Amino acid sequence: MNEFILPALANLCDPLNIFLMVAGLAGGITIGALPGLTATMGVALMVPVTFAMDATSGLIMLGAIYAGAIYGGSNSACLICTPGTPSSVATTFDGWPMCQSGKADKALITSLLSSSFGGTVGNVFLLCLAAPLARFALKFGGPESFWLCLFGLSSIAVMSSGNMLKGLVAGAIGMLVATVGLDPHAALPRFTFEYYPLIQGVEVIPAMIGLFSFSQVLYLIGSYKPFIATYNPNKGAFGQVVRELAGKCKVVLLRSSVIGTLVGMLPGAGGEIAAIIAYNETKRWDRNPDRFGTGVIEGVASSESSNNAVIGGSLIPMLTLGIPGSAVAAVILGALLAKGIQPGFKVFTVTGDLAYTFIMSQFVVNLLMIPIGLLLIKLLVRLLSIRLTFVAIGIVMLSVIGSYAIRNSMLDIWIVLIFGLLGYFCNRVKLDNGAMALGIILGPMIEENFGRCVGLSKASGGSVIQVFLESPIALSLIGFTLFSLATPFLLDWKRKRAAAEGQDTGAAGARVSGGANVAAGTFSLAVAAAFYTQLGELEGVGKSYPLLILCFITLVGGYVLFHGLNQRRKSAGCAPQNDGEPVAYRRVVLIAAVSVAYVVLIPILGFYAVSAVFLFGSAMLLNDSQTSAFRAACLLTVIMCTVVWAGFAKLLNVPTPEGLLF
Amino acid sequence: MKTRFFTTAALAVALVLSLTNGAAYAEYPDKPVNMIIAFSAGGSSDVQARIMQKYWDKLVPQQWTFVYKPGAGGAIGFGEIAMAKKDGYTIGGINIPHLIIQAVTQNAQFKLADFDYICQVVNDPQCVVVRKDSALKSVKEVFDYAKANPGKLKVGLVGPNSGHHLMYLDVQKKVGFPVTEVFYKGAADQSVALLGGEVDVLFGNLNDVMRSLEEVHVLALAGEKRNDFLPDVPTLRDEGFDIVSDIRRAFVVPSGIPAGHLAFLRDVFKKICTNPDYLKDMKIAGQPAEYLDGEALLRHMQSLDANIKAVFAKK
Repeated sequence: MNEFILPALANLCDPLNIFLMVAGLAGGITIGALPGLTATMGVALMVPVTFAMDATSGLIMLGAIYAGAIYGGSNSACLICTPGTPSSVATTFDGWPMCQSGKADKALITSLLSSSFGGTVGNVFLLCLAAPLARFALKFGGPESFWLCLFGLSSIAVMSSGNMLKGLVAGAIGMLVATVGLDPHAALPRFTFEYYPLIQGVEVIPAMIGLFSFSQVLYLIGSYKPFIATYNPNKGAFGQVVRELAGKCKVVLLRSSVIGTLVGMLPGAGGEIAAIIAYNETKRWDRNPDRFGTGVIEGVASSESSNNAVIGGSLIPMLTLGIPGSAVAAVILGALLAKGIQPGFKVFTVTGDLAYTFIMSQFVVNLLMIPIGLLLIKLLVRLLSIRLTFVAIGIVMLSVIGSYAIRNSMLDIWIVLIFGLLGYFCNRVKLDNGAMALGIILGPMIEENFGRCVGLSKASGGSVIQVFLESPIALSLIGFTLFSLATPFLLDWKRKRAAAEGQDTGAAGARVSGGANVAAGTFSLAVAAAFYTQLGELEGVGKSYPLLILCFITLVGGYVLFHGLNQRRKSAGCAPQNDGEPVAYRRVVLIAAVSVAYVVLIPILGFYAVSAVFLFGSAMLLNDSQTSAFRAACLLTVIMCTVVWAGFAKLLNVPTPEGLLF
Repeated sequence: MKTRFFTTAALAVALVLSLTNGAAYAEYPDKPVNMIIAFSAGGSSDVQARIMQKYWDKLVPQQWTFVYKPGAGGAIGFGEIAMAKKDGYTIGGINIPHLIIQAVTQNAQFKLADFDYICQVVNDPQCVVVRKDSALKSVKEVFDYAKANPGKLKVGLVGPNSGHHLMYLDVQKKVGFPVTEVFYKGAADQSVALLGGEVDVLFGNLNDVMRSLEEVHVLALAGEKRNDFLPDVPTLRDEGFDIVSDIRRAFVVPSGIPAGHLAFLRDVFKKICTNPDYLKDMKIAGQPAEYLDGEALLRHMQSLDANIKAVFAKK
């Protein structure tokens, strides 16, 4: 290994390679920051460009884009509560509250430094321990993956502590929705509601854009605020963040980075799962978990360090075994193979020159990320000085084109809209969107591995339970899951003891009104009923798995409904409860209706024509300032259309939906 | 004022007419051609098409615009090709037998007659693979072991209703193969399962298996003849089992495009497929190239179609 490192460093000094790293990072960060444009897409779009380069330079560039995009997603997560890539979902939990309380620069710098740290740790593992770690990753078969996913799912209990039942229902609804599409066990259409395009299933990314971005648009438009947040630039923010990260966040950063690396190694599990698991572990082990979600630096640090550590992790099985650990790693593998480079443990000897140059370039990329990121942060915080209405309208257009670009399907745009409305509704009735997202991400993996275990059981005499409990890894994962499920009760006990000693631990979660519980319960039952009507011709695991979820939703949803009715009956005499901040429902309905009309018209008239009308029209309709609405609306329309056209159509060569016009 | 308006309008109409007329008489293709790929960017199908693009650009002035339509194992993209405008400006890549199986089992939105076939470009044979340290050293040993210990041997397949599944059913019919079958979502999961010891044998494509060659032992290929990538590996026929199974990639257009356009495309693709530089690039990328012209391809698909209907329609 040592004989390769010095030449590798020399390779990196090539001006072309330095340029590729800087350009890849800047491009990657931009792609990552735009909601809808993901790391996978950014890397995939640049693969043809690498065909014209030598293998090493191509690989260096793709690696830089990958790292930049995963970090970039945190910027929009903090600034507008819209994860730029699915990996940043958990960053919104604390990054957004930080921004709202005027500490946007602190949140952004925390993301930047944590990303850089996590990326470096993941890369150290790749450099030093690739071979043994790859062997370890192979131990994760059907049962182990099944329990790992259940462990991930069990973090709902921590995520929505104080409101666990509704968190679990939301997670189950997510899992049920994820069963739409091709039944993985029979390869036949399932839950398509007689609408053929649904055979594609509910793609994770548009669902996330809907749940987190579009629902956020509705929330922002409905709030009576002129700007997203007031922003007070703080000169010493950088030094302050460095001190806090090096001080109280040491353990958080290290633990989250290791979690990221390990999750990254497993095929199928990527940054989005790593970040949620790392966030919940940080919350679980914190002395005062209740403060998470209110804008604590540890929350941002854990999510961002783990999702960047995934990069190094996912490259381990890709380079050593030819098995990609994430969707992006799969794309990079395709680029490698096209160059005729055979993955395998031999890459570190036969093509050691290339492998070590690539790994060393990742260290440099993680360092370069800091100055480039700081520069971009300076530009990005200016977003906060744009009127909120315009930002929200801009997000709608980006969500539409971003979700379409993933697989060029109108269905995905509809998924964004439907999940956006759903997310908004769930927020109002306190059904946890994060839990639902987790269900959508993990559901398909749980079902697939469940099916694998059932298949494997035939070889050991038909006992599925035996397959599930066979390996020590599976048994320890079961232990973790049980512990995780017990956490809310432990926390409750801790809280009560602290209360008895007279300490103040903060409010134990706001009380939820009976009305919200009635709505949440009714909604769950309605979803269950809709899916029940479609169970008809299914059979085998493809039927029993969704049926199991259905029963769970019915039971728990029914209980929530009953509980809500009871609450209402009790509080009938009292004054009606106030559900928090006031909402401008007229404006919410207006933007939702205009957005639906927008999407209906796209395939008829063409994307750019309708977008221009949409931008201009909604900016005029929703204008909330006294001055020059017309000029501002024109400006918004021209800028958004030009940027999207130049960026998507010209630079990235992404097709847009065509219609009669253009 | 009014006359000026009419003059401008007349001029505009004339201009538009001349443009459209020009288009009708210009040589095909006079604008970029859409290339529909039914799988994700960066996947095997994409890499193969990108290699072809390099040589297309040397022969034809108009480029390809890549449109990715992944989903439902390719069925979404294949349907998209079938329903595209019949003007010769949409080409697409298809995978065989996926396309035929989907048409038979899934009420998919296409059938064989919805396409005109340009040519076949890849023939990726299935192979029987075990881990390097496996006690089973030949396919005969695999088949004998399976029969001696019914249900004990675990076989990993991608599927169900896939090319691998089809080969598995063929083996069961011809040899008798009482094993435990386990289905995986993709080749990556399937490889993990073999290397990690969850399954003992897998039926996989040469192109996928090549990625993990250090760790596995390819016992036999289900091709008609041996493959240049692994010249020492026998075919199943060499070993005495009459089983041929492969996954092929081809390019098609929606049926009914102007005959001249189809002839043009067939001619260009043939030139690309016989270019030695192209063949060298394909070899470097691990793609087993095999050219077959449109008519021969259609005949192959029709016989496969009959076979697949017999196997799957009963289920």
